[in-house]
Amino acid sequence: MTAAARLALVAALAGAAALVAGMLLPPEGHFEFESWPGFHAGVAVVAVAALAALTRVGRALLARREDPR
Amino acid sequence: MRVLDALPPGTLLVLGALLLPLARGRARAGLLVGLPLASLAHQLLAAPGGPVGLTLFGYALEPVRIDALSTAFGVIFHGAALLGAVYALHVREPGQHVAALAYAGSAIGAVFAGDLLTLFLFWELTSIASVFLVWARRTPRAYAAGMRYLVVQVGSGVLLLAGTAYHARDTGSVAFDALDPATPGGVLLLLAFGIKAAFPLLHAWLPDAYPEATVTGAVFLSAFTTKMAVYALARGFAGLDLLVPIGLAMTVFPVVWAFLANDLRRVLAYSLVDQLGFMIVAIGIGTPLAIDGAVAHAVTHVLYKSLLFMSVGAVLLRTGSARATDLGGLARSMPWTTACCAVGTASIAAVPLFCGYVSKTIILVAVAEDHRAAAFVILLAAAAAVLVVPGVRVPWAAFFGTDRGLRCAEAPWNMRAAMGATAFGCILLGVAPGLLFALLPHGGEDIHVYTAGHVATQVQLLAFAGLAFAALARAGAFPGDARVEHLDADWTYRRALPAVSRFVLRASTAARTAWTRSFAESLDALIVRVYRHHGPEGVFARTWLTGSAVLWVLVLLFVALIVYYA
Repeated sequence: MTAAARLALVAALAGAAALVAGMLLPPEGHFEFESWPGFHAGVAVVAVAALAALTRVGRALLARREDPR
Repeated sequence: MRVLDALPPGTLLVLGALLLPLARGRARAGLLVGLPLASLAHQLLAAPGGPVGLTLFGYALEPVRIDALSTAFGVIFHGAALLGAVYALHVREPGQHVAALAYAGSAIGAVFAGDLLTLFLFWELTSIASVFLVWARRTPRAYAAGMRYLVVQVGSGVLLLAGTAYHARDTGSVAFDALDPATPGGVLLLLAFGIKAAFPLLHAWLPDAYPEATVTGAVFLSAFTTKMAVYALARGFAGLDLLVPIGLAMTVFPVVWAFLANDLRRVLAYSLVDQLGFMIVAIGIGTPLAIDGAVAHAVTHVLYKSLLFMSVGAVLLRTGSARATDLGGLARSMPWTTACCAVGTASIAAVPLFCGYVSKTIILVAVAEDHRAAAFVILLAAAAAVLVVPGVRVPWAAFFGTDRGLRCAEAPWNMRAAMGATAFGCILLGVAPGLLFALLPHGGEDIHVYTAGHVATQVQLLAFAGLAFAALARAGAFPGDARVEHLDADWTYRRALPAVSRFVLRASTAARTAWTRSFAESLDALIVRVYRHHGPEGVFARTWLTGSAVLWVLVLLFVALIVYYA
């Protein structure tokens, strides 16, 4: 198993445990949406997906020339 | 002791730095490590009011003001100076040491300035001292980047001085307290602070200059300038609502540039702007808890960002490159550096038990308590993105990614010691947040960061961000590393302004040529006309009869007589 696969496995286990814990624990946040199941997980996934899209657009638009160094 | 009492904290470091070129070998090393310690003792023992009765142009000065806010920044700045000095012990060039300690001392002096004129003095000293940390790399790129950096930094100082003048005219005082952003002086001062705090569109100097600095210079640069500005904003503009959207923008846009950058120190520079955004949002909210969050994040940020610059700097020192396209697979060659980099990335990603988690949680709670739902969600999203950049990207590119066959020695002992101590600090403040709270102006407002809810939601955020990144990267959704350069807002003064100035120069040259030609043609025509009348063939050159000439002379004499007697 590669290092990347091991890290992904750890992240999956930790994420699943945190998701379950988030559902079982009494709500602590100041906003109602914080108590929605998987709210933080959803924000994380959307943020990373948006980052992927923006970096692709950025590379296409902003990469102008070879780095001279 | 009376002389020391009269000196603002930090000046001992500035003055002591001047002795460094006179010392050699162990004496220089002793001075390098001893000066920050002596300066810290000086700060802790300094009289709260400092020298009194000083005036300039009729304005009362307060060169030293010691309170909880300045003390927190003073302590962490001294810590950064000490760790940076240890990290730089192997450098044989005394000029770099002088610049680094003078820079650190000036930043410390600035956070203890009780009036705007003293602040201006130290503000400009940081600009001048720090640029030598860029120029000391002695490459054409470093020289150009340093020059741009200096222009921007001195520009910030000029705005600070102009703002101070307006403020003094309006209020009759130069005391550095809460400032009014609705006055011309307040606007200028906000701009001056905003440049050094890397506000959006004013930030380009940072990712431009920091990656061009020396290995050790970048570590010092990452600690002082921006945090000095954060201090100034917390002192002068706490609770200014405008800072919230500015800070939110800062947490979002640099992440894209950070991902696209090839130079890992540029990646870190962009993520520095991103982390500053969290502090600016907290200052904009301005509640005691939010100000504590901003100060806490400044303290932890100095630690983990220095650590990240140290680890990438060690890679640069050993391999000669900090570009993602050149690096990879260095974990076996540099295990200590890899471990320290991992601690730095865990801290910046706010993994529980690391210092960044504590400070970021305080800020998020302060934002939530102020009922700012949109800001809260944006900060959560930005915190998730930070796990990807620089959290995963930097260690992956340098230590774990594609092995490019680079084999090198581990970093020198002093660098390992500095990285180890900084990593220890990151973990210590993470597992014992009470130590961090003791530094804060309001003591953390009794916040409990290690509740089951906070930890569970943070782990959820980070784990799913990591999974999403792994899945998307595997699917090829992220662009790969490439040897390209992405210009940012500095496009305006590195591309657009030169192009405009070239156009203006060409246009003005053409206009001048046309005008010169037209003038010459007019002059030629005049000469021809004059020649026609006065030349050998002209009407005035004709030979007249003597009688006619005498007649004309008589007429003229007659007219003169009439005029005389009239």
